[in-house]
Amino acid sequence: MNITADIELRDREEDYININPLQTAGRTTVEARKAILSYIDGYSVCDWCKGALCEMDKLPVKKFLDEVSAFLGMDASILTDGAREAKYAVLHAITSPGDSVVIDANKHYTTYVACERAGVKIYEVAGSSHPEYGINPDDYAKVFEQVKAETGALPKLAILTHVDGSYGNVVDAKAVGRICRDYKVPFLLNCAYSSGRMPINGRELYADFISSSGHKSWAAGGGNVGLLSISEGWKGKVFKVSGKYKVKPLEILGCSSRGSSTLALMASFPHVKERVKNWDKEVENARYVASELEKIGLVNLGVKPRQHDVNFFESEILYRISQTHKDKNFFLYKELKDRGIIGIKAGLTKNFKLSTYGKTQEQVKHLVWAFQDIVGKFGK
Amino acid sequence: MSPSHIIPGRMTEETSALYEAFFALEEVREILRQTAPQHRLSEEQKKRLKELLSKARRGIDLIEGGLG
Repeated sequence: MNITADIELRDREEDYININPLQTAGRTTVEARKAILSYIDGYSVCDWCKGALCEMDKLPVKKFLDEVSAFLGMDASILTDGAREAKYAVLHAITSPGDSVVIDANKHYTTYVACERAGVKIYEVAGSSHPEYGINPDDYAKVFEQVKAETGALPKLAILTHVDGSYGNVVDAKAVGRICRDYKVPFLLNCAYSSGRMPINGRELYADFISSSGHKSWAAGGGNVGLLSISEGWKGKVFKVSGKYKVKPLEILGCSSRGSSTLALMASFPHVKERVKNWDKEVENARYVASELEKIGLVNLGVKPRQHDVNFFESEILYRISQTHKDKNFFLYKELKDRGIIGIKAGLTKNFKLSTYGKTQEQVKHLVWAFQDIVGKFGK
Repeated sequence: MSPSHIIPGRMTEETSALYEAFFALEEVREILRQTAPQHRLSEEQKKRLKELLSKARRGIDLIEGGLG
């Protein structure tokens, strides 16, 4: 069934268990989809606008943002178009071209690109090697010292990827935050893969800024939407308004997400507040899948024990099967799809990642069965 | 449709019925999502499905009655 002659209808969530880590926690709630249906038209959010998206009260955007700040243990929040835009907003507001910024080896590419766009000099905290690919918080202090030795000044900002999207490693953000506090280096915690999935309290983590992704981890859809949350002292710089248009924050060019995705984020929020309380269950599911897949010969990478729903696997056995299977390296994608599983990139067999976020017990068991069945059928 | 059909400040019955049907079907969609890929529904889900489909039908009937 097609929507138009060349746009396919998407049934990945209705007819399959979708395990694409990029998509599992951005899957919308019923409430979000109802909001999207109603607010689908362009600029729908602006029906009652008095000049600033984040200050709107008839459509309770301001109230929502206040609640988000409390939920994340921060002092103020604004809507952005995504986590990447939130990161860039901070970089643009508090650094100047040529300043030094410290990032981590497991960063999302957009952290790097945002730094490039801001014209800052990038210093990277290295990660450990195979199989953990972990980030040691103490290495932030070492890189701060390196920056100071090389440039004569401490970095203007430190960015940490709280959870990376490849290995699902959860870094000890509090330890990094404490080092930043000790060195008086502003700390931006990128929570694209953590806030909205698991409990986060920025105040306890010594975060000055938190970037969040609505479409990745807050069950929002209908477009892109994100959040930038800050601690009190940064309002003047980061949420600075235009000199001429006094209600328009500069870093979001006045108003950011002006469509249904904002409504989706707001409508899913009550559900999100509840679901983070079940984080232990999500971790338990991820550990169960990792342990069952290791029993059939796959190797689970990342820091152990697993602390997140994203799991990365190396699989010599699935790769071996692909060498003789009629579908070659597309066999895994096809065999999983035949068993109702989707989300592992077509063509991958040797290395791949998956997420079990939001799946029911029955779906998690079905996923394990699918891998067992494939290896049992072709792996002899 | 006559101008008297429009009641100032109020959503028309047809629009309200349209969303009632849409929303009921969104809830059905959620059941599909929660039970994918086999769609083996529990007794509770089957009961809920029936209620939702009736709600959707009621909305469609209202639209048909009002505009058809």
